[in-house]
Amino acid sequence: MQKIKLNNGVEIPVLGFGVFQISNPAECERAVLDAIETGYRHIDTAASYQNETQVGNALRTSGLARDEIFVTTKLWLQDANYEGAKAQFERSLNRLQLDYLDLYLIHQPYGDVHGAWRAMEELLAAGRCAPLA
Amino acid sequence: MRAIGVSNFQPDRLADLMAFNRVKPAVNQVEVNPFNQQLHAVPWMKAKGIQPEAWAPFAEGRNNLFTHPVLTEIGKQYGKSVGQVVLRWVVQRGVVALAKSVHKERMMENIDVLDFELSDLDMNRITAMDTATSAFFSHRDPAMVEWLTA
Repeated sequence: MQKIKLNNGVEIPVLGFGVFQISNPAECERAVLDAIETGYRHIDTAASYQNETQVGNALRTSGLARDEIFVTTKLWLQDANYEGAKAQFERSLNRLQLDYLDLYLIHQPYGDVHGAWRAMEELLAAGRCAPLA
Repeated sequence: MRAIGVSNFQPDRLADLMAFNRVKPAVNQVEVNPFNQQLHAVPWMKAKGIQPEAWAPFAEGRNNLFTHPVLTEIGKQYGKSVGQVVLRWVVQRGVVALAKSVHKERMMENIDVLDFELSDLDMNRITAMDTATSAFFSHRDPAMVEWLTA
């Protein structure tokens, strides 16, 4: 899969598999597994899609090594503030059953996006990968 | 976490975020499809080192995207489906494409777009389809902001 280098050197596969509106849990899990089997190595979800758990289940079932797959999730707008970003990041990681995220996005341009951004800068700078004990 | 970014930010909001923070967004995920091409925002983001990502590249089939005569005709030339032409057009603009399907055949089709190149002429024919209007809703519509934040 062709990749593009981001401004911090991280490489992202140019084609990703999005799971927006795959709300049926079993269908979502199967779709992500099918996508991985098809060759997708980039999965795009969001807290608001309410299927991070199913994405996590599929990633685990796939047996893919963590560094072979690029995973994105997003912070929903009701939590777009400093504390919200810190807390929701942990919750998303837990649902995805991952030690780290490849990409975390502020989902919508509303709320205290500057506060949320500073929390995300700190998580990034701290190399905060694993959920807080 | 390896990178942080935003979604649905227009260039003015990106400029504001960058003005008051240290880390530049690595990515901005926005609606990109033949009807809403982000012809101003995509080059602006690239100039700032922000990677654009495309959500709803097929506009969820709105405006009869999958039977659009221009896209259909281009697809025939390359032996590709309308969906493949659209994803190729996204990637060829240097934009990351996020496609969704629950059907394995479509997944296979959607990933098979890296083995051909659209000519400048065909890229321009698709550019001409732009309406600079969201196929869904405007993030600048106050009624939409009220509804989303309620």
